[in-house]
Amino acid sequence: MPVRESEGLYRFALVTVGATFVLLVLGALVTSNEAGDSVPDWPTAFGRWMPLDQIVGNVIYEYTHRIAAATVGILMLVLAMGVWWKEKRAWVRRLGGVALLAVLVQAGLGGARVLFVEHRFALALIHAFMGQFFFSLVVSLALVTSPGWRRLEQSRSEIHLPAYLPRLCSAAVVGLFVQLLLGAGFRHRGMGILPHILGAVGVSVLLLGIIWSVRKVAREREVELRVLSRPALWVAGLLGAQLGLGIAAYFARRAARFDPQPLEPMISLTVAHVAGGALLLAALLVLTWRVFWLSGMRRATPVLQPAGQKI
Amino acid sequence: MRIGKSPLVLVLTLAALSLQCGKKEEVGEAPKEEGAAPAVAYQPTGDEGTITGVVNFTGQPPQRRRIQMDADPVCAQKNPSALSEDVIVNNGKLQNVFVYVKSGLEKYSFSVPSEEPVLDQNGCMYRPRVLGVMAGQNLKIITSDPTNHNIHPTPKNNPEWNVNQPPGSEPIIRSFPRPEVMIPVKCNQHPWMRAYVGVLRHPFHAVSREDGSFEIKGLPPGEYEIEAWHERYGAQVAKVTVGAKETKQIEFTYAAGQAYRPGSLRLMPALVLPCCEKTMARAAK
Ligand code: HEM
Repeated sequence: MPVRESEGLYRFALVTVGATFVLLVLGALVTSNEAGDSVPDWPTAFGRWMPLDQIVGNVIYEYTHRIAAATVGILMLVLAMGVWWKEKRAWVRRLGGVALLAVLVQAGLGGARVLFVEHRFALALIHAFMGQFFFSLVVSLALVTSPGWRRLEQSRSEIHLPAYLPRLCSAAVVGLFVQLLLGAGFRHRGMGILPHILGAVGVSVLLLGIIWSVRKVAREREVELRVLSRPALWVAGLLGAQLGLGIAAYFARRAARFDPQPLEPMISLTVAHVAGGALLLAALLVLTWRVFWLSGMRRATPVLQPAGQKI
Repeated sequence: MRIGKSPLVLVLTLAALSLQCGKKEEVGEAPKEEGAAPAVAYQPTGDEGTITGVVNFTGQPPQRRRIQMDADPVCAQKNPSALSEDVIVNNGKLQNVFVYVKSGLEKYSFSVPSEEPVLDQNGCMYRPRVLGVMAGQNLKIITSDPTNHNIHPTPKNNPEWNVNQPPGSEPIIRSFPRPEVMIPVKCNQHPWMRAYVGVLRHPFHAVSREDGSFEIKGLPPGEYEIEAWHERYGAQVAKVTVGAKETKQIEFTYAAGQAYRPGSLRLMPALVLPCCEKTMARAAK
């Protein structure tokens, strides 16, 4: 498919990424405001679709989260249909299908979280995880439909990345997902903070390893490997911010333990930390996809982007 | 795509484990202690005694905080100067302490009272904040507020439920089948609203009043462990022997600096899911 033809799809995928990020933030606001059970029924709210007169107190968080989720569901449906009709690469079409399935499962999990209060903790944990997992799928879709990815696919130069780099990236993605789960475990009061702190150390080591090796490759080959070094820089920045926000969120939670209700700055700091987790995941995914592509995992000839070429 | 598969497997395993652990026993009779002789229905003899007492508080109590009700203008209008109620101290006496017979009554069983204690939602606060019922006894939940509320108890040993109660609606009548001290009750629409229900296998409990005093009447003569429970300062136990027709006086004293670590902020036990605490404790034994 020519580059321009796919741009519409890419733009639409970007809109879906943006909407999903907003949805994650709204979901984080539901948890930080303890609004998770403010509407006891689903899919209706208080037995109605538009209970405008019953939107009091915390209901605003829960209800806007539902509306945003429905919007993202529709966006994803349109995106999946667009990918199905316009996309020639079978694996991208499959990726679109998986993302559509994920958003449907996520909607079901959200409903189950409301209806089966007995399993509140487990369902909140899976719902938090699936939210980030779905986000990673739409980020991937946006990436592989982008003009930059097309250029990467069409580029002919060669490079041999260290064989361990793709494995390190995979380990970091898995590690990050585990870290998100441990964070959710603490946030939903199911476990202590220690596993999450240990997880942060593990994830930081993996991410620093990746950043270090990308820099090393770029320096050794004396090329500006921007296609990797740019997302690596984002990963570094977001990791620093995320660690800082994590520490701030923990101390804000501690300071707020006797507050009669959820208050600032605890709400903003914990929401920012959840959002930071999603952004870090997105940056790592961009890096990982590119590392995989460049190391020739998807085809016979590995490629090198010529120095200075923008992707 | 291979990435993403492993965490999915992990989360599903975790979920399965958690759901498995979360399974609560079937609703029914309050569980009896292992090896205990069968309890006999208690028939009052006229020899019953009374325990009275007071809950003291030493040191500087934490200041009561203003509750911000602006998120629901109806609440803000009805209760414009609401203060936090987790620690209420008047002249060195602590209010809202749940005092109950923890042990000493195992050999008896008691019939469930027909009277229905009332939990009112008034001024977007629960009235009373702390109350006790017997397992199986009806609790009547009413609303005096012209706004929506949801009532959401979060027990560990009883079925959890969450229902909405719009203004002017019928009372909600519910009961808890198993003993549990204490069950937190929340309104997620107004997250400052919190109450605690103590569920016992007998009717002997009291809640300390404004002056810190409490009274438990109609106790069969015997030796008892009396527990005082406070939402922020935890539990204390006193031993007391009540003779025929006797009135015994006991005192509990809480201190301002008493160590307190909320469960949600704990470092350890790190990987104990809340639903699995009992299973893990049994395994540890
Ligand atoms: C790579 C580093 C980290 C990542 C990716 C990360 C990610 C996350 C995520 C996604 C959540 C929310 C989970 C959810 O409910 O969906 C969370 C919660 C949390 N994390 Fe982290 N985290 C990191 C490091 C840290 C560190 C170093 C601390 C320091 C103690 C920390 C403290 C917390 C706290 C306190 C919460 C719960 C917030 C609340 O109570 O609402 N995190 N983390």
